[in-house]
Amino acid sequence: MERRNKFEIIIDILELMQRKGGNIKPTHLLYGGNLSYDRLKKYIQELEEKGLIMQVTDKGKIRYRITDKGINFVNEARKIKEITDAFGL
Amino acid sequence: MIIRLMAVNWLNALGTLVSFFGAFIALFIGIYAYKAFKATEKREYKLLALSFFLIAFQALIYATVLPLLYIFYNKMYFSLSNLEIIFMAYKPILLQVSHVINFLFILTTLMGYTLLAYLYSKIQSKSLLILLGSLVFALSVYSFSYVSFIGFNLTSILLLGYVSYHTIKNYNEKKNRNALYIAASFSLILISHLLFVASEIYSSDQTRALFSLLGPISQLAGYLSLFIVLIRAQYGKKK
Repeated sequence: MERRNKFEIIIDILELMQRKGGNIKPTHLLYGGNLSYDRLKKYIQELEEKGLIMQVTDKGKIRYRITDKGINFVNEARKIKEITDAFGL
Repeated sequence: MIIRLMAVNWLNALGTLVSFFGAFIALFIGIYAYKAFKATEKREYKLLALSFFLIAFQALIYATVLPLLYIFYNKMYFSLSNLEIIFMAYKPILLQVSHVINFLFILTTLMGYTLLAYLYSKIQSKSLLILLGSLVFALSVYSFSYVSFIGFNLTSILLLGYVSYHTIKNYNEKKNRNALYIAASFSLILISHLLFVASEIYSSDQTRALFSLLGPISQLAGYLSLFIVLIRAQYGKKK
């Protein structure tokens, strides 16, 4: 299996959030994203800083939600990936 | 595909339209490749963007500057006969300008194709890229002579042949429609260069006209194929 680059990991995290209805527990992100805790923490921090996700509290539990900016980013990334994949580089 | 100032007809108008369309498509693909580079910082996407920007630039030269020069040249020649002295004074300058623009057209086209071929070679060597660039530059210098037309097209055929081979290989591995459209587009643009060469080789006027017509049509089909990939990506069509 090929190693994912940073871009692909970010897309995987955001797509996972979208699949789970835009709202996800950190543990689900950990398993679904196939990342170590430290790496996931780093990515979550970066995604929050960029405004692609936000932390919400639901019944006292921390969850992460994809923002509108995050949804737009995933859609744009899908287009980019589809075009670049077609070239096979 | 070079406009010669004195030998133009409606076929060149068709070529101009096709090039406008091609410039538009190449620009969009260049922008997407650049976005991919910004997101991933992968060098190959930077080079892909650069190659499509060069292709867009050459198509824009063909679609705008060369026809403008042609119109200017012919208007002066046919309509302003009373100003023949002025025209005669400007004629050498005009011809020189057209040569320089032809040179730029050939250089940017071949640089764009060379970058694509280099990308598909998967050889990560700057010195190879410099060597290829120098060869293309040297070849482009020949654009100042008439023989450049066939030389330019034959070089394009070689480079696009290499690119087409890899895009077809990519389609055979992935079996997805976008890869098929990319393979088809490069193959059709390659065929258009073959037709442009054929239009030069055949002496019969009818055969030449036929090849001159089929060349831009094949090129248009190639650009349309790239356009389909853009549309499919835009509206999320899969497989």
